Order: sequence, then structure tokens, then C-alpha cells
Amino acid sequence: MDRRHPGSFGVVRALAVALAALPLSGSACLALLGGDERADCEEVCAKEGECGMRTEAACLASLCDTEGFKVVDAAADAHDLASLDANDCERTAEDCAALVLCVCPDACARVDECTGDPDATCLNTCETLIEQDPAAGFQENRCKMESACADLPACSSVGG
Amino acid sequence: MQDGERLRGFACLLLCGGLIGLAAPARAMSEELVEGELEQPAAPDGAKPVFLVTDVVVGEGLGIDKDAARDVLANRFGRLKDKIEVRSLSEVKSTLDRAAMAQMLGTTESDGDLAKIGEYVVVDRIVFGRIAQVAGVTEVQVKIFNTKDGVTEAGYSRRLKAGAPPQLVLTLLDSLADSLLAFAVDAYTDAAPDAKFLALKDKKLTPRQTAVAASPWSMLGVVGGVVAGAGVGVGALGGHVLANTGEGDPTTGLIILGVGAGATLVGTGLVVADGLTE
Repeated sequence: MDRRHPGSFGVVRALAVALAALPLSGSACLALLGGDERADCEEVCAKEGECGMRTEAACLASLCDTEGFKVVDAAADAHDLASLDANDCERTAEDCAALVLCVCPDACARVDECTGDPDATCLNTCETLIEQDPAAGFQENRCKMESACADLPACSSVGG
Repeated sequence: MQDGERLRGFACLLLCGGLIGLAAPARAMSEELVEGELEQPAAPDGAKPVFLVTDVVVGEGLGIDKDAARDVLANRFGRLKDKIEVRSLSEVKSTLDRAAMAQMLGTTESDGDLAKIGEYVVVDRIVFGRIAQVAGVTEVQVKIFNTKDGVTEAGYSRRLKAGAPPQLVLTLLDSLADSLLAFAVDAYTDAAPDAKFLALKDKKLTPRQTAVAASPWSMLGVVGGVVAGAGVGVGALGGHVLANTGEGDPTTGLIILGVGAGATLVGTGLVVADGLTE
């Protein structure tokens, strides 16, 4: 009977320590579970705002949700904005010229995906036109990659 | 020794003076050459290549208005107004209609209108397109025709897969107009980036804030959490073993319990260390 007490005590103590450790490791667990995604999304928007491409609020509204990046389109054609290469590209861009050009690969890929017709010249075209009118080109291409397929035509009026 | 150095310095000054003397006229000559070249450009100052978007032929049963398709193409293609000039046939037609009306009415404005027609009709290149559907797949194509040389200079086509939202025909028209525009910028202008883009190159961005998250220190919390969690599990197992040992040797249970407690302590320590380093 006496031998049972140390065991029970061990379990209780182990549980107590575990409970104490949980709050401490909360942020780390959050990071593991993708809680930093929202911070990543906010950082993308901060960079875009810094370059004056679109306001941070407008960016947050179209790119981020409460947990991280938005998912657009119906379930069958789910388009997770967290998977966009432009996000990392914009976060690591050294200057604003590099940042605006980040949108081209994803925007081209989105149009290709929706129309079902890959366009080999799209990337070159996109970069040439962004060099001529950076803000309009950036906003329109961001709109393309953040929109459902059916809404793509509306993006042509986004850049003014 | 010092005289030698002075002499060398004097010789150097003479040499530099001579080079500047030679370079100045050469530079002036080169500037004259450049100016001479600029005086005879392919297009006079302010003249931009002029394109006329004539027609977009639309296949039957597609439910697309051909005039609207033409204007979409013209508006999109003509958005870089300072680089190229794009006119739509709608504008020409409306001018012709007004001119015809003016002539009928005998007003004096007709001369101005006729001059405007001449201005509109003199175009370097004609842009036209076609939208057709075959077995559910919609194809959109556009071409640039050089009216002076009588050759097709550029042609692009894109397809819309069967079952795709039909409004994406507009997106295809937009992207084809973009292709034409990029071609026009490359082929008919100096293709130099706009001043707004060049200004963006000078706008440096602050370093990435999440660099801290990628450092080894940030992993301490994660590793600590995992070790502490595992320690709790092992400790619980040790406690269970100890509790069920009965009259037997408690060493095994104690060892497991000790290992679990140790791992919990180490893990917690790592989490705390992570917190202190942030």
C-alpha cells in the first residue's frame, strides 16, 4: 500500500510540471501549428505599404484572414494564398522595384490555371508593363492572384 | 630625390592637361554626333506610332458583342498614352458620321472634321482580332498589321478551356492586349523603364523582421516544449510502473520517473532560455 504512494505522487508531479510547462511553450507550439502565418501575411502588407503599392488595410483585407493567409475560390478549386511565391519574394525584396516584380509569376500562373492555357510570354509581358506603370501593374496582378477565377475580369479596372 | 618627385608631379600635371585638352573636343564631337542622330530620328519629336484597332470578328453564338470586344482591346492596348497612340474604329466611325452630317447640313465645321478624318486614317499599323469557338474551346487571337510594309508584325492567340467561366474571354482579351502592348513598347519605343519604376529602385526596404524567428535560438522553445512534453509522458509512465510494482523492486519505476522528471526540467529550462533570448 505504501509502495503505491510514490507512484501516484510521480504521476501527479509529472502532470503538475507538464501543466506548468505548457504556457511557457505556448508560443513555440503556436509557431509549429502555423500561428506565425498571420504575422507573415502582415509583413507582406507592411512591405507593400512601405513601397506605396497599396494601403496596408487594403492588403490585409484581400490577402489575410484572422489565422494567416486567405483561401479563395470554391473548395474544388481552392486557391491558398499562403502558397504564393510572391509572399516570400516581397518579404525578402531589397527594394521596391524588386517587390513590384514579385507579382508576375503568380499572376501568370493564376490566369493560366483559370483559362487552362499556359502563356509562355506572360512573364516577360508582365515585367515589361510593370516597368512602364508599376502601381497599376502591381495592383492588377495582385488582384489576379488573390481572386477567384470567375472574378478575374474585374481585375483589369483595379490598377486604374 | 625631392626634385625628382617634383619633376614627376609636373610631368603628371602636363600629361593630365594634355588629356583633358584632347578629350574636350572629342567629347564635343561625340555630343554633336549624338545630337545629329537625334535630329534625324525615325519618328519626329512627339510623334508616336499610331495604331488603329479595326475589328474583332466574333463567331456566331458566342454571345459576345464584337464592338465591345474591339473597344476592350483598344482601351487596354492604348493605356500607355505617352508611348504609343491607339485609336479604335468606333472613334473613326463617329468622326465620319459627324462629318457626313456636317456636309449634309453644310456647316463650316465639316472642314475640321474632314481634317480629323485624315488624321485618324493615317495610321502606321492596324490591329485586328478574332474570337471563335471549337468544341467548347474558345480561341482569341490578335494581330498587328504594318500598313506601310504590308506585313503582319506580331500575332498572339490564347484559348479558354471548355467549361471555364465565359467571362474569362475578357481576361484573354486583356492578356492579348498586354502582349501587343509589350511588343509595341519593345519594338517601337526605346523600351526604357518609366521614371516611377526607376524611383522604386532607390527605395530600399528594411530588413526582414522575421529573421529572428529563423535563428537557432527560436528553435529552443520548440525543442524545449517537445522535450518537456516527452518528459511528462515518461514521468507519468514511471509513476504508473512504480504504482504497479507492488512488493517488487521499484528501481525500474524510479529510473523511468527520474528520466521523465529530468527531461521535463531540461525542456522547461530550454523554453525559459528561449523566452530570455527573444
